[in-house]
Amino acid sequence: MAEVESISHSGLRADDVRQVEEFWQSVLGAAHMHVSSGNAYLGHGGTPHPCALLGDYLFVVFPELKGATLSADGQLRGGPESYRHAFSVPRARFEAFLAHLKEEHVPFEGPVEHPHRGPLGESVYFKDSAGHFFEVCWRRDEDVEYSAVMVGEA
Amino acid sequence: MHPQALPNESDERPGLAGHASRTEAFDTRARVQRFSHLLVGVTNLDRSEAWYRDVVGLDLLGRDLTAEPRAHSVLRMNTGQLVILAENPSFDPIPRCQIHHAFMLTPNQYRRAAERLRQLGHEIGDTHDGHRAVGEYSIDVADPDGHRYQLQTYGPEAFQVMPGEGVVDCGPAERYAVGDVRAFKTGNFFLVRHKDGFLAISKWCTHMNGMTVYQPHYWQFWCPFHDATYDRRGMPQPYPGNRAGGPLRVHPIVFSDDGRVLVNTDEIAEDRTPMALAAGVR
Ligand code: FES
Repeated sequence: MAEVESISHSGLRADDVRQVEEFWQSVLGAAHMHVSSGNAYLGHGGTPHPCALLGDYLFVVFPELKGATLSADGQLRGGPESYRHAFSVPRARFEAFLAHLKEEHVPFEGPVEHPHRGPLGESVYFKDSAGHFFEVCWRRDEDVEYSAVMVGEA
Repeated sequence: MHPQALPNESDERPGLAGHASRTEAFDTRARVQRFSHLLVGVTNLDRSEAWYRDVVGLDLLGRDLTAEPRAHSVLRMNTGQLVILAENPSFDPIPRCQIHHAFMLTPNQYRRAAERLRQLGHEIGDTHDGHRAVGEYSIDVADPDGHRYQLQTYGPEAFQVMPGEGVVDCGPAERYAVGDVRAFKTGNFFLVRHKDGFLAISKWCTHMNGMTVYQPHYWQFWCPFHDATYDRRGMPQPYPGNRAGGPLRVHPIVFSDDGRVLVNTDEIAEDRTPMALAAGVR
């Protein structure tokens, strides 16, 4: 057993918060949750930040310009230079997800097949409107019963 | 606000999701189903693999198990989520900014992590220390390349009814005009005089025991920890995303023979009907 249950959320930054949320909603099916005002922290430099729920994961978006340049234009598959968030769909829905990416005119790389000895099946790679790298995959261990992930309220 | 530096012991998985969001609903609109993994660039794979395994406590599955072209390690959490460390010796650590990721632990995993960090000589800090609700815990850590993480948990004390301080004498009822809201430090409650009587409303937020304040301009109680809001009868304001875990609790009120308002902060009243004034008291 690991000493950690899950990753509960990530805080990312985006210059145009509304645009990135719209991308997550239309392409990935995210739900807008609320804007966390950070009021308790404002004296400590907190900023209002929207939160979006994506499947069982929460993104908190900081409307700030500081931070790394995420990727070169045209680079779809974020490598080790930066973070990449990967979500899974059931293997049976993977093709439908690829079709959806095409419908939404989202350029992507793949599908790429992973080695059979690992937990991943196939992946596609793309990035959102703010340049964050995303991967959607199906997993070979999709029938394994892991501990349940705590899911945020939509 | 923190009554203690560590959560009470528990192996229960925390009853809240990321950012202390409530967990009742699953978003069925999501096209993607589950979070699968986070890929992180690191400059030295051996060093980072040891850090994520020994300091954070992830299970190491092995190396080069995916189609990632660079050398990489795959580590797993108990929910099946993965962290993949991909090596790039020329990777430039990102400057300090808001980008971070948060590992969710059970209270006991958190206690062990804090001990592990202490033994390994890591400084244990939380940038929001003093601004967390009761039972909300977080440690800031950075991996060897400066990637920022939180180790977080929610202890069972976040959801316990906070102890009262006996019967509080709020003075003569006639001292309060209709519309008054008076905050009492002893016993942590608000005494509200409505048209139809008095309510003694506990200050403790029902999300996770943050302490609410009264916002007179909005005629509401507000919890600064995750923004829950409640109306002047302690009922959650009805909008999506309000973190309130139910109405603010109310304490029973009695009036003394000479018309003083006595609030029993040791008890929670089932009946939320405002306590009408005794006849003749204005
Ligand atoms: S403790 Fe979370 S909103 Fe009050």
